[in-house]
Amino acid sequence: MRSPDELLLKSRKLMEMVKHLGIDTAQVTAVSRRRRRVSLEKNDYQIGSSSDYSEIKLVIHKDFQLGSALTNDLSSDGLRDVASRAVALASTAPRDEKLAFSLPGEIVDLPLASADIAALGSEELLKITRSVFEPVFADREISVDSGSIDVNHVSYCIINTNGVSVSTEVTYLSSMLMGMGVHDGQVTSFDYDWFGSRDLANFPLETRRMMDELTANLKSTFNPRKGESYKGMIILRPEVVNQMLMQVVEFHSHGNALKDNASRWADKLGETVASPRFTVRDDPHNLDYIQAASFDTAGTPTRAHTLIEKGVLKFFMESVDSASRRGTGTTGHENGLVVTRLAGESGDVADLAAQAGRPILSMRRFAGNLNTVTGDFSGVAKNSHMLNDGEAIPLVETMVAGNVFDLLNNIVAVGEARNHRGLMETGPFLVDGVSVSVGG
Amino acid sequence: MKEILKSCVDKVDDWIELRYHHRRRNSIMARGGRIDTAESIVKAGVGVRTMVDGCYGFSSTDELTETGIMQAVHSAIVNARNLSKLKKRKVTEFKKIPLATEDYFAPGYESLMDMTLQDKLDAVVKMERAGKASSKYITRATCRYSELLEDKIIVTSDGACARQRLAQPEFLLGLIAEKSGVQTTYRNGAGISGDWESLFQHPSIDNVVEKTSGLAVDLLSAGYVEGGKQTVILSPSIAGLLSHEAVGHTVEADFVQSGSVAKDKIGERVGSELVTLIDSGDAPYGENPAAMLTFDDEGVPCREVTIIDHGILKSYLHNRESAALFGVEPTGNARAWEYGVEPLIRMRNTCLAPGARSLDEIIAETKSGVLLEGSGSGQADATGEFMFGVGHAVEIKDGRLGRLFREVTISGIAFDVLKSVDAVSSEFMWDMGTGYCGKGQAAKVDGGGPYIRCRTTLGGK
Repeated sequence: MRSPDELLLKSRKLMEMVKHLGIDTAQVTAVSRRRRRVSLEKNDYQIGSSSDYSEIKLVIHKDFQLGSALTNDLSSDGLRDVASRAVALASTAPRDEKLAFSLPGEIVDLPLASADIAALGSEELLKITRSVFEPVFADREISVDSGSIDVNHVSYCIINTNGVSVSTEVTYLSSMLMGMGVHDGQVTSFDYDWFGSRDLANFPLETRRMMDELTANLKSTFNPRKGESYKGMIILRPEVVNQMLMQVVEFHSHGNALKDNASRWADKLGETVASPRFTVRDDPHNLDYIQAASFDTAGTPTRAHTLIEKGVLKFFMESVDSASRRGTGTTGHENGLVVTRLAGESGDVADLAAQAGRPILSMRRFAGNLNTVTGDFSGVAKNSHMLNDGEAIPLVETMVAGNVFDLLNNIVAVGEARNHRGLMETGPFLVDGVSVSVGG
Repeated sequence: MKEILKSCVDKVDDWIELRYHHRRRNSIMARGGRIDTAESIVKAGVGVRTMVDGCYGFSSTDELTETGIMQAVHSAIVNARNLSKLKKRKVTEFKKIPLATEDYFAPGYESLMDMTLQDKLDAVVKMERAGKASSKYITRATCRYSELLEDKIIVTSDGACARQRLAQPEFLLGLIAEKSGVQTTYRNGAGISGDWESLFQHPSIDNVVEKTSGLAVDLLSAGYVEGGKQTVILSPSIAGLLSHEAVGHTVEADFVQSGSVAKDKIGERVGSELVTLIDSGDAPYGENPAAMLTFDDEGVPCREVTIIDHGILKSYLHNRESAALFGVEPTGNARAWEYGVEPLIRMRNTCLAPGARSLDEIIAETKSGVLLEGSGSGQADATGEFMFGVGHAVEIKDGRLGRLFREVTISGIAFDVLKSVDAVSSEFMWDMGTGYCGKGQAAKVDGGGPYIRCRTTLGGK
């Protein structure tokens, strides 16, 4: 495992080599990662693993020609090889005068690394693993297909010829479980969930909570029945909000789509694009979420922003490339939103169902096609239920179809927003305008 | 490197498997008249797997010296020893079989290494520009070429000692058409095992600009299919996707042990008499599928596996561990994406076997149905329940092709669909070579088949 300072030294060495090749516009990104993992398969512990891994990536803009190369060989020979491969590619690429790298900016230093997690011993890791997985193994109605507990320690740095020189160190823990419900010869659809945290003390408890919710949902899907076909309201549970709503929102509010004339919201800044119940914030310095970051993958400092406030589009995200091509400034969104927080109201899934006033689909997973450009979606609601008068009826083969832009404008209610698995803040959404069909 | 690995293996008392893996991935993508990606990634290292007290341990290193590898060996042993205290069912002793000892150098490796990047980049830029210029309705084009060039050496303490080099180039053209606020996307491409010339001989790339552009534009005025259960003819790409996603995963022995729908069904009828399903590291039909390999990442020679023989489920897909547990021969299905991860049970080239009749004959005798071509994304379940997107659909009425439909999805239960197969064409094609299978780690796979007629549920808008 290399420290940020060691990576910076290697990066500067590579940058010197590149300069000797006559190239004065380049960027180097170096990453070093240590991961320890306990994996599970087939209702048992499967393999203990550990890996140390480093890599360095060079991007050059030689005479406005793009070339990029990456290696995990950080020796002098490896660095020379990566430089020569990037130059070879750049020598063949057509000129592109809009190529750009990030500019230096003020970085807010965040405490993203924990000495406790970095130093977590094997015995402690096994103890956590046992405490969270043994109750699942003991549950005769759950079959564990796979699962894992990871301890991650990452350092990385970015330098470029514009004067950017940033580095950081991150630690976090993560857990995953995938399994099926099994009972009297029945096997349910598989389901999975994930949790990530930089809080060692709470990690076992929160992982247990994730696994309890997952296994409870699996067991609630025995004896699935056909629901009913209708067009109207459904509930998007927190597990599916990012997939169903935010993929489309992120695409259309990012400069990458704007530069390609693919955004439906290109001329909508300051205008209403969604229901007043819809507010989207990016909160990259919030340490409760594992994606929290001081700078993005281009080295641009991150800042808190409100993308959509009460349905009104307030802000476009920009990468270095989109900003260069659109003549704007980069916003620290090289890969989209960093920490997504969606405003909530009150109540849970049951409260939203009561507001619907009729039997309603509560969707936990969606498998199907979602066209991020048009917003059209069609597919199958999986691991889902029909909620009716306090009863949750497990469903089989339920098709859903609609358009995400319609859903955004037809948000009937939002439940209480909570930290969902350390990934985003959201509540469940009650949305209108979805075709639900029970099939053949 | 082979000698270093052998020397390391000789120093260890426990069972051990060392895998040197050098991988070069060159990627070029043109979009909007410019180069979006021009990247060369090279990673090399050694993955170490050990077994102590019936439990696996794994570690990896990018320090390619005996000292570096031995450090990883010791870490793997410690990992195995620690976890063995928790493991409930110890790994059954592996069956003694002849492991790989012969090297294999796939055609295409040297020639793709020797070919200049300029030639590859020129082809990508030219195709993207031709696609964009092909119609006034085409508003955006993307063209991507990438190649995986892999060099692996496997040495195990029980006899595997072999090297293989693999070459897997792929090419994909995507076009977006727009007219009066309607937008359609169509993609065509191919991925193979082999060289540049063979890639461009793939039927999917023949006239690729005209085909892709024509469909993207025609779909602008296409309607939506009527939803519900219908008679359909699935193209080779969809037959391949069905074989891989909806059936193949359920017969991976690790998934079987977890309780997939295929559990305890060996010997049972799961398809019609016309259905024979094969997974192979070779090409049982057609040419150059993308996942050609002679041995897997445990050093087990790749066997051709007949999963379903004329409708009867015959075999699961195994690694050494599951084969020992099931009391069968391993099938050579253990694969690892890169040196830093351990091998898992993965498919290779998975296909339905062709039949004796022509597609034209099958269409001619279909009174009412839909011909489905080109696959999109797909997802399937442990229960065999699946849902796939389809590139486009064509109505069949009284034995003739009719209207074009867009945004079609199909869903069903895999074994139910296979039981409904009543016609299989002689035309065969591998057509999933641009795809990667995800199971915690990626794997290059291929899938294909003939045209098959069956019953399944269609979904439209």
